Formats: sequence, structure tokens, C-alpha cells
Amino acid sequence: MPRQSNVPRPGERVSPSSTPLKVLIVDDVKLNRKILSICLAKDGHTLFTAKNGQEGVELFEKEKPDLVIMDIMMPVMDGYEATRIIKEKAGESFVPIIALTSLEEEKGLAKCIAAGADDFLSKPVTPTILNAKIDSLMRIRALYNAVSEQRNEREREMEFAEKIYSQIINQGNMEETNINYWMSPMSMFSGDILLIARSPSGPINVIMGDFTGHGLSAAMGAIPASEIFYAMTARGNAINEIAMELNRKLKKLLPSNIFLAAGIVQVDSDKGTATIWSGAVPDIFILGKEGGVKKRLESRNLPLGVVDNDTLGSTIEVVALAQGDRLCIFSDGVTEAVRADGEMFEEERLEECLGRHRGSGLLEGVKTAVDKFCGGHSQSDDVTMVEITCDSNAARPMPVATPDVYDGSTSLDWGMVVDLSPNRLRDSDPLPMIMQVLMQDDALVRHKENLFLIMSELFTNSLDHGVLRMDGSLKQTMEGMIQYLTEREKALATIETGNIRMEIKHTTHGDERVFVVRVDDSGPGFDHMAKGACLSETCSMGGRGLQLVRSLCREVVFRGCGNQVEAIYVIG
Amino acid sequence: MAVKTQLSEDGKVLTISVPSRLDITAHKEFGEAYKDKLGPVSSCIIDMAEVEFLDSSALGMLLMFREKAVAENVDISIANCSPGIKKIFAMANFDKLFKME
Repeated sequence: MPRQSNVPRPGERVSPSSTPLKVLIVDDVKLNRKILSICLAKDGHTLFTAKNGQEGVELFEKEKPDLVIMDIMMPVMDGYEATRIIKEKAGESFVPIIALTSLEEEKGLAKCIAAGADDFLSKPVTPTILNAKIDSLMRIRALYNAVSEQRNEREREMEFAEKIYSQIINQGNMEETNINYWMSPMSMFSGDILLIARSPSGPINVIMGDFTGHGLSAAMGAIPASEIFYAMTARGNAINEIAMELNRKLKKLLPSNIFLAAGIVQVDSDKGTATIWSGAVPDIFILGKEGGVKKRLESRNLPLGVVDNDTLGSTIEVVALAQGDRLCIFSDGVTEAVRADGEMFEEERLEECLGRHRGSGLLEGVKTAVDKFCGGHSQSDDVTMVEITCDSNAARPMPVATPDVYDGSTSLDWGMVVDLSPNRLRDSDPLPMIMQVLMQDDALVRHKENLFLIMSELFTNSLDHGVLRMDGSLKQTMEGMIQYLTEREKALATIETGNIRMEIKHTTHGDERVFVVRVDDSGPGFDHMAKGACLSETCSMGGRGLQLVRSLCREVVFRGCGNQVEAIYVIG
Repeated sequence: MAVKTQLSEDGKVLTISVPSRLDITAHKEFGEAYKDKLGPVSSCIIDMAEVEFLDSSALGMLLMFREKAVAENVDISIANCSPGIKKIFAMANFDKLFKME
């Protein structure tokens, strides 16, 4: 796009225009006015003269000169006062004022500058010095005009960009009855995004994000991010798929210093679940219907757009919500609001504030608390927060129209990593959640029995033998099996250490679509290199399970010390 | 989501309906469902109508059931499998061990 203004580039020399100027001379001494007039006349400038400050101000308003030469000591109104008034009247346009001083008035120089004069000249005035000063001031004026033109142009462009921006960003439905949000006007164009859309099957997807950087650069990232969010939500993609696609795209598009910290959630009020992907945002809170913090979920992922999808440990969490429970996401503008002494609001204060809130007006309450905390310090301007209530009776508007075609259905690679800590292993069974996620991918639905079998075998194997160190040989007899199950239940209920990491990818190998599952556990593994190792019932994976997985998969490989296994299943 | 048993009116046929997800978590309940019940019946049907997913421990579970049933002289069969589940049984050669209906 061609540059539309004659704004100077850095290093470019700005020349004063050679066109004659309108110059106002203010001096109470007739001889001085005469001398100045003679000095200036030969350059073709148009001259106006005034006998005191008062007259000077009047003439300034009438003639709008380009330059003022102002004596200081004058009757009626002195030069200081006249300078102040003229500068005020000139407003945004730059009219240089040269103060005329005699040597004994040198002490008054600082006062001249303070009143708004741009330069000074000692009497007696010589034509050479006067014209040099004028040239110099005209150069400054040209620069000033260039800068202000640039600023106006930038403002116009910002206004324009903001309009386009909000049209793109606000495609979703911000009027869902079970959602409250608060976005300070400053926050939107400073890189905060809040997008809300309903997926075809009913649940509501929300992304609250915060781009690093400010202004246009941050807004640039918000455009593809919102396109992806709306398109994939309309297609019914799962939260982790949206996160992975956002990450892939933002990594590709944005310079490395710009990325998106985001909380992406899907609230399914009918099922009473929230699926949460959070990367580098403050803790997400779940509050009970009657108030009180039920759960605080810390961020589990890197921000979006920093690393490749392969490296992004995309961990999602699924939590149960009771009717009336509220899920709240806050931008770091809340937790990092700073008061005068440098102290930040922090998550603890936020939790305390949320914990004691009762009834409606939660976000307003938080805003008030942050403002109160900051005192007069205006740090809380950059704030975005959203509150989603689990309410199966919430009015259900028609799903939003699909934005421009997104034909990623056949080539979309996605993946998911689930890290299971001892607490997670003890308290919940990850397989139903994982299957629920997988079934969002149309291509996987017809393989569901096989995929479940593969994942169940690999997971159970890691859990039983890697983490719980169960003895598989027990399983051969009926009595042994019962003993095995009893011991397993006991071991699982008291598990203190051990982790399992499941990594799932739907991707392309050559011209085939494949589903790759990799399971790592913290256990000691087994000698997978030994001949026939895996066919023994006492080894890590019982013969039957592995045989089944092997016959379903293209490839099953053990790695490490036998505590890592990867299975590749061909989708077609 | 639980194992359910139903005895026919004449007391000769025991039907065991199993839950949608058949893996290690279902073992105990399944074992208890037929424990002490096979004696009086002449045949037992495992109703798989609900089953969406199963893994090798479910196969193990069925093998143990079969062992017990053979010892008690009970005629056993597996009914109402979805095509996907049927394929897994076929792959594990279970169709040679169980009557599939």
C-alpha cells in the first residue's frame, strides 16, 4: 500500500519551506520594530507589528501569523503573559515564538521558556542571527507538522482498523443469558479477546485470551484467532482441537515475541461438565451456586503460538459442574493490577474476593475490589473477565451462522496430551473423557471400538504394571483374578506417586491418516528386548492384550526401558 | 451403568446384561452377577446390547465365565453385539469359543 502522507522517515532531513511567512513583531520601542522590519523585509515576509502584549494577542488572533517575535518588557501586557496566551490560543498548531531579551534580562530567559517561548534572541538583533533562528524554527515546525499529520493519520487508521477488528471479533453471540462478562474499553484493543459461540450440539465455547504486546500488532493476532475459534466451534470441534489449531496458526503467523495466553472452555450445561484448556492465564475459578470457591484450576499449558504442536503439552481438564455453578476466567489485568506501592492484586486476593461474594453482580464486585485496591492508580483499565453459569434452562438461541468456509475437515492434524498425576489416577478414570474427545472427530467415530481397546490396553498396562506394580501372573486363575482385583483397588486408592502421560495424535503418515497413541509411565518398565518377553503372562503386558493391540495396529513399539509404548493405528 | 441379571420364568435361562464399557472396572460386578447362579440354570446369555467398548480384560472376564459355565454344564452364548464389537471378538477368535447370536 503506498504511503499516503509526506511523513518523514527516520533520518530524513526536513527542510523549512522557502515560502514567505507571516511574522508578528511585538515590541513597545518603535526603533526596535523598525530594525526587525528591515531585517525581515528583504525575504518577502509579510509583517505585522504590535506595541504591547495586549495588541500582540489581538493581532495574533486576527492575522494567524506563522511566527512571533516577542519583546519581554512592555507596558499594558508583558511578553511573558502574551506568550502564554498566544501559545494557548495556537492550540495544536505550532507557532514558534522568539523572545527578545537584552543582556541584563538574561535571568528572565528561563521564565520566557517556561511561558512557552521556543527560542530567544539578545538585543541588538542582527539579520544573520535572526534569519538563522527563523530557519531553525521553521525546520522544527515542519517536523512538528509532519509528526502531527502522522498522528492524525494513525488515529484515522486505528479507527478504521478498530471497526474492521470488532466486526471480525464480534461474530459470536455475546448475549447468551448464562454469561456475564466485563471488558474494559482499553482492554479490547490492547490485545484482550473474549469470544463466545455455541457449538452445534448445544454446549457453549468461550475463549478469553490476552495477546502479548499492545495495539495493532496484538490485534493482528486476534483476527485469525477469532476466525479459527468461530469456524471450529461451528463445526463442533472439541476444545483441545481448537487449542491445537490456534497454536499451529499463531505459531506460523506471529513473530516469536507475540503469543496468546488463553483460557478456552466448553461449558455443557445439560451434561454438567466444563472442558478446560488453559495456557498461561490466571487460575480459573469455579464457584458454587450459593457462592464460595469450589475449585481453582491452575494453568496447565504454554501460551498459544510459542512452540510447535508437537511440543505443546496440550492438557485439558474436564470438571463436573452442578446446576448454578459458575466458571470464571480473568485476564491478568485483574491479578496483576498494581497499586501505588507496587503491590499486585494477585490470585489470593481474587480468590478471597470471589469466596465471600454472594448473589449476582460477581464481576462488578471484582472490578470494585480491584479499583479499591488500586486506589487512584489507574492500572485496572486493562481488564477482561467472564462468568459462565451452568444452567440447563438458559435460553437457547439458534446456533450462530457459520463464518466463512473452513475446510480443514480432511487435513486437520490434531493431538492431545493427557498428564495424569497420582491424584487424577486415583480420583478419575481418564478413558471416558478421552473417548468423548476422540468422538468429536468424525473420522474416528467408526473406529471407536478399536481405538478404545488400544487405549484401554496401553493405559491399563501402564497403570497396573508401571505405576501400581501389580503382579500380572495372578490373573491366570479365577481366585488369582479376584485377588488381583482386590489388590489393585487397594493400590489405586492409596496411590501416592507415579505418573502416566498419554499422547494422542491424529495425523498423516505418507498418504494415510493414522492415529498414534503413546503412553509413558513412571514405572520401571521391563526388558522389552528379550526374546518373547511380551508373550509371557508375567511381563508388563499380558499376552492377550498385546496380541489384540498388535493385530489392530500397524505398529507397536516399546521404547526406553519398556515404560514407553507407541501404537500406530491406520484410519484410512 | 451396571451389570443386570434376569432369570426366565421357568428358572432355566439366566440373562446377564453388561454395561456399555467392558474393561477391568466391570470385573467384580460381572463376577458377582453369575456367582452361585449357574447351578440351577441350563443356559446363560450374555446380552451385549449396551456395549460400546471392551478390552482384553473383558475377554479375560468372559473366559473365566466360560470356564465356570462349562464346569456347571451350562450352555452359554453372547447376544446383541454391535458390528464393531463382533469384529473384536472375531479377531480374538472368540467366535470359536462362544456361540454368537
